[in-house]
Amino acid sequence: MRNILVVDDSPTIRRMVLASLRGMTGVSFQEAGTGLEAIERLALGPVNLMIVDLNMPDMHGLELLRFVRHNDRFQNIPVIILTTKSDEGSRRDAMHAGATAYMTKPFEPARLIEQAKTILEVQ
Amino acid sequence: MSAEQDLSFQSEFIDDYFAECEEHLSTLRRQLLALDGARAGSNGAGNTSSVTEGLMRSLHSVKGLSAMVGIHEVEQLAHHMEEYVRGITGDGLPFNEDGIDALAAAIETIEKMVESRKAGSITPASEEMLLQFARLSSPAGDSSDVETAIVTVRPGETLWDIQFSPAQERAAIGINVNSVRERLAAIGEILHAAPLIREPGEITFEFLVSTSRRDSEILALESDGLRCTRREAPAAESTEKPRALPPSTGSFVRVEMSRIDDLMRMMGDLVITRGRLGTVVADGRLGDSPIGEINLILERQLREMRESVTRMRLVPVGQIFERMRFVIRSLEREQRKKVRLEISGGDTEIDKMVVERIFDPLLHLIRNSVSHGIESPTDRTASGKAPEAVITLSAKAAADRVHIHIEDDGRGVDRSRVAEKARTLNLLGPDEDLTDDTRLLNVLCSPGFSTRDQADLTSGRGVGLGVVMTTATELGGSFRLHSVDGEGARFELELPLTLMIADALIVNSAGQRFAILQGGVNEVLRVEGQSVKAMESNELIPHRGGALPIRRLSRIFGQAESSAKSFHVVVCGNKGTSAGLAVDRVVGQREIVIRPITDPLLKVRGITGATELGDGRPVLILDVVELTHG
Repeated sequence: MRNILVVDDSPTIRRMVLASLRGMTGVSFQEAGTGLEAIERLALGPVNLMIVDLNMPDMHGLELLRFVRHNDRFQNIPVIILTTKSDEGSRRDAMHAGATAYMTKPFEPARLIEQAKTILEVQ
Repeated sequence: MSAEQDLSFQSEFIDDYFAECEEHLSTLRRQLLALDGARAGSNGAGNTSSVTEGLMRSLHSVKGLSAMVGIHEVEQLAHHMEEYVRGITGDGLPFNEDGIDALAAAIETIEKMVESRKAGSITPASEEMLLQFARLSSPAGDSSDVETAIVTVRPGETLWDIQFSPAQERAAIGINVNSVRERLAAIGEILHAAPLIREPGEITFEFLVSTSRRDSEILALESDGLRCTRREAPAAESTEKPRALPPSTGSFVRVEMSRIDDLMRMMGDLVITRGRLGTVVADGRLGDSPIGEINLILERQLREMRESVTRMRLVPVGQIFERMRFVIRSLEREQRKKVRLEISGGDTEIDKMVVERIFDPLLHLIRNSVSHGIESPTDRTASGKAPEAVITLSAKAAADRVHIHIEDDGRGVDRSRVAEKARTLNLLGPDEDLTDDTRLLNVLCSPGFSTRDQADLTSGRGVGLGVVMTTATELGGSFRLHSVDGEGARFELELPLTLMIADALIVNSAGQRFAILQGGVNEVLRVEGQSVKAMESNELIPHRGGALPIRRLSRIFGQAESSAKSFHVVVCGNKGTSAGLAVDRVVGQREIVIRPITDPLLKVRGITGATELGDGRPVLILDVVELTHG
C-alpha cells in the first residue's frame, strides 16, 4: 500500500484531488491543511508521494518543499506541486527547490492520475 | 477530459465551492478593514505586510477555486485584485483610499457573481472593475515566498518559545500539531510557527506565542510533552496585529442549507402527522390503550427534535454587523462625517434565512442614521458633543425572539420637520403632532415619505423605512422607534429566532378555520355583543379603561355574519396602537408548520401563509396586524 499525502489549505481542492485519484489501486490517502500538519504526517508515518499547493497560510508550499528536501529522512519523497501560479518564475523556483512535477490548477483529473501513477511506478 | 466529464466534475464540487467562497469573502472583508485601519492610523507599510499577505492568499484561493469549478468571471476578478495588491506591496507603497474602495467594491461584485451563479441568473458585468484595477495597478513585482516573523509583544504580555515533537502515542490521544496550535491560539497569539530539525530525522515544531497568561499556566502545558521557554522581547509600539493563523475548523461539518431545509420540511410533516395522531387519540375511540401516553411522549420528543434542527440553522448575526463597517466607512467619506461603529452581541444566533432577509433593512437603517441622524463634526462640537459620532449595533436573544437595536447619538428625528412634511402629504391632520414615537415611525414608514427635498444617494427616496417595517412584519416581528430630540434615535427590530414552525391560535369565523401566529397576539378577549359600540367606520369595545377598535374577520372576508351573542377578540399591536380582530371563536392552540405563499398571483392582503392541521385540512394563516391596522 502506497501513501499519498495531499496538502492544500482548501478542503474543496483536497476533495477534488482525492476524487481525481480515487481510480488508483493500492494507494491510501492522507490530507493536511497546512504545512505544519503535512510535516507532522511525514514524521508519523511513511509517505510515498506528496501533492502540495504553493499558496498556503503560515507555511508556503515552497517552504514545505525545501524543508522536505533538506531533511535526510524525507528528501527522497516525490513532490507534485499543484498550484494556481502558472508563471514561469514560480515553476522555475519550484523545480529548483526540488519539485518532482509541477502542475497548474485548474487541473485535469486524468493528467493528475497519470503523473501520480508514473511517479509511483518509477519509485 | 471531455467537456461533459468536465461539467460533472465541476458540479460535484459546486456546493463546496459556494461554502468555501463565503468563508473567503468574509475573511477578505476582515483583512481589508484591518488594512484600512492600518492605513488610517498611518502605521507605515511594515505593519500591514502580514495583512496584505493574507489578502493575497485569500484572493489566490478564491481564484484557484473558481478556476477549478469553471467560474471564470470570479477567477478573473480575483486575479486582478491579487495582482493589484501584489503590485502595491511589491513596490513598498501604501494603499490609498481609492485602492481600498476599489477592493471593497470588487469583493461585493464577487459576492454578487457567486450569488447569481447559485441562483442561476445573469452574472454582473465586471469589465469596468477589471479596467479600474488595471489603471490602479503598477507593474507586478515579485513578492517574497517566505514571510519573516516580526516579533511584537503587547504591553503586559510575555513571549514564549514552545516546542512540540509529534509522536504516534501523542497523536493517538489527540495531541497533534493542530490541537497544540489550537490550544496555543486560545491562550495567546501565535506570532510564528515553524518546523525545526533537532537531530537528523527528528521533527520538532516551534511556536512563538505572546500571552497575558501567568507563567504557571504556560508551564502546565509541559505535562503534554511541550517544552516551554520564556523569551525576552522588547514591547512593540503597535497594539494591533492581525491574527496570524486562521481558527481551526476541525469540529465543524459543512452542510448545504437546502439539506437543512429538507430536514426542517420533513420535521414539519412529522409534526402534522403527530397532530393527526393526537386528533385520533383525543376522539377517545382507542379506550385504555397506552397510545395516548405514547402520543404525549412523541409530542415532547418531536418538540426537542424541532428545537435542535432549528439550532442547526442558526448563524451569528455578527456576520452582517461586521459588513456594516464598510457601509459606514464609505458614508463617512461621502458625507464628511466622523462615525464609530460599536457592535455588541454579534455572537447572538439567528436563523440564516432571517439574517439574509434583514440585511437590506439593516443597511438602510445604518444609512438613515448617518445621513439624517448624525450631525457634521462642526455641528456636533457646537452642541457640546464629541466630533465623532457613535452608532451602536446590538443584538440580544430573549426566549425565541431576537432584539436588534440600531442606536445613534445624533440629533434625533426632527419631529417638527417630519410633521410639516406629513401635513403637506395629507398623512397628518392640521392639529395633530408627532410627539408619539409610534405615530412618528408610522409616518416615516408611509410610502413616498422623505424629509429630504432631494433624494440623496445613500438613503434614497424615503421608501426605505417602509421596507424595514414590511420586512419586520413579514417575518412575524416588529419595528419600533425611540427618539430623543438632540440626543439620538434608536430603531428597534424584534424578530423571531427562526421561522417555519410556530405556535398558533386556531380561530373559527363563519365555519371556516384560520390560524393566527401567537407571536403577535397580546391577549384574547371574550366579548358580549351588547358591549360593542358601532362608530362610523369601525367598532369599539371597552378595554382596560379605554376603547379598543375592533374589526370583524367575517366582514373583511365577506363571510356570513354570526348571530351569536358573544364572540372572541384577538388583540395585537403595540401599546397605544392595539387593535382587535373579532372572530366567532378561538378553537385552540396548535403547533403549526408555516408554508409561505410566495406566488405573487396568490398574494392576498392579510394572509401570510398556509398550514395543514392535524386532520389534514389546509388552513390560511392570518396577518392580524395587517387585518386590524391596514
